[in-house]
Amino acid sequence: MSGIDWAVLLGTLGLIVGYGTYMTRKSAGLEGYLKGGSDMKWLTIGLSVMATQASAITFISTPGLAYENGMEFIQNYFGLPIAILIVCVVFIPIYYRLKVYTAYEYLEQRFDVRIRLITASLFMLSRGLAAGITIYAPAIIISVMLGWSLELTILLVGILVIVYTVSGGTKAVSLTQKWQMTVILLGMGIAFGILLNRMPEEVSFLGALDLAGASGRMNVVDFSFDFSKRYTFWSGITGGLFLALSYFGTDQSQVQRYLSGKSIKESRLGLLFNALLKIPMQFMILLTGVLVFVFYQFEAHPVLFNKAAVQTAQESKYKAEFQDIENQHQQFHKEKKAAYLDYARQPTDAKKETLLALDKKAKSVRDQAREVVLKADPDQSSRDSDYVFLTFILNYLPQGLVGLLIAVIISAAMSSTAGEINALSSTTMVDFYQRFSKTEKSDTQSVNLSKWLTLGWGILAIIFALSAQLVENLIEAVNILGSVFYGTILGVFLTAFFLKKVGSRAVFTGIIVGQLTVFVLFYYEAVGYLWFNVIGCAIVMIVSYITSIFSSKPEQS
Amino acid sequence: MVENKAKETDDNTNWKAWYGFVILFFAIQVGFYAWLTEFFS
Repeated sequence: MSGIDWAVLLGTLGLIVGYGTYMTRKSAGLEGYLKGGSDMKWLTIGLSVMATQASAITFISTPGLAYENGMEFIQNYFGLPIAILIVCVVFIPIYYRLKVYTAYEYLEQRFDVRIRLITASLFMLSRGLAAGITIYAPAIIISVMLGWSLELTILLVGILVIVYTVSGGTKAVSLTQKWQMTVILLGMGIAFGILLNRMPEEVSFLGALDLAGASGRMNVVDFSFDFSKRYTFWSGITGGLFLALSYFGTDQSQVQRYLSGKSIKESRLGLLFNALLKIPMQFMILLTGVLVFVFYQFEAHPVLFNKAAVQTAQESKYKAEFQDIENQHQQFHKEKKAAYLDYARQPTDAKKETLLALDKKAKSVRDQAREVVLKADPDQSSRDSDYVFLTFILNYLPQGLVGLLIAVIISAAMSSTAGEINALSSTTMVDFYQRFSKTEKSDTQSVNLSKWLTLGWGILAIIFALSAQLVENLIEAVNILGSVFYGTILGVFLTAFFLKKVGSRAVFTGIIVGQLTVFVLFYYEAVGYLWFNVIGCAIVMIVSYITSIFSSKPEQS
Repeated sequence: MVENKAKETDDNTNWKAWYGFVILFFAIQVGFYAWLTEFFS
């Protein structure tokens, strides 16, 4: 990175952190610290909700996914608008009516303290681990590509987040997220424009889409009932619906964002902003990845984008084998480039078949290279697609914009981590400390304690991120861990809302049976982990309902 | 517990129209994506 890039990067991050800290320097009491003074407008809430969900991995991995497999991942978000409508109609009015600070408070009012603590603990376990990964995942990629120290990258992101989240609480998180999201959208828009501008003269925007389609990358929606496919329209609006409903309705890192609204109207509009814009945003990110794919059909690139993986192979006894594959890839690239230019000038069905065959061969060459890397070091990550977009940024963006795009990635990491540690400290404070503390604390003392809790969760996230490198496939592990508990939590909330006759004893039985079933499914790898959300939720509701019918004593709910 | 200042009362916003708009926009997007898939396949 050049001096200008460093200036843009540090200037952008410094301004956002400084702004968040300065604007919230005056203490506004516990209500202000945990709920941001309940004066947020819909746009701030909308951007804040969006920024909490969009982690750095969204902007690094998603274009890589599209590069590798096309647009199909968009279907994962098809359940989101419907889930948000359910949250607006069912969840928000209840949270407002009961004036809760955390989603779990409601469960004590509806059931008892035991159910509140179980769900709050499940949230803290899964979200606490996720906060570490939110920092670790982009840090490992940035450190490999820019040659930075992994530990220093983790510390940089972690400490910046802690500074404004501890000092200003929820309001600082929301205010900084608004600007972080602005920087993110601006940076991604500029990258998209530059990508189009750098295509060969023969390739227009529509021509690029045509080339992507001919290579099987414009597979946006698939209505087939094939359950072996990971992403279809149907899996999106069923599995995706449950995942989004659990996330937006019961995950405190999101609930806290929209409960900071000035009124129920602002909260709802903030969420509807996401219902309208989340899918188009993901579409544009995936389309950027597809255009990167088209771009690299005309520009030479290494067989693998992960520099650390390439270095591992080159320094091993498999060096000659890897070099052979690299030469094969470079030779093959010339053939591919000629075929793509030929198709761009005059597309025909026969030429399309040739492009599909060439893409298949290109994937096979990349797979061979990955196998050599794994032979050289079985612990080396073979996931190469995460490095595709960053390679494009570093090699083809002009000075200054590289710094801006790195700021985009770090901003995204900071915004989601801030939302998470802010929510974790609120849950610890409200659902555990305040619930069980026998001593009356002043407002200032409570705010100070909340600040210490935020600091504690921030440090835990950093420690977890620093030790995450010891475990392979941790990102996937944490995603699975989230799905293992999300279904149960959602099941408890939906039982509370819709099964009015079910009491605490019945729902407790439901939680035990539901969670044990998901554990068994997880242990035997019986179904894809997205289905844990649906199955866990359904079992909690069904078992709770049946138990309540057969329960001999009527329960007080 | 300190006082929660947020307003819990609803307003005269036509929420049914908003929700209908969200569903309509989603349906239009799915239609557009289906067309894109078909057109560029």
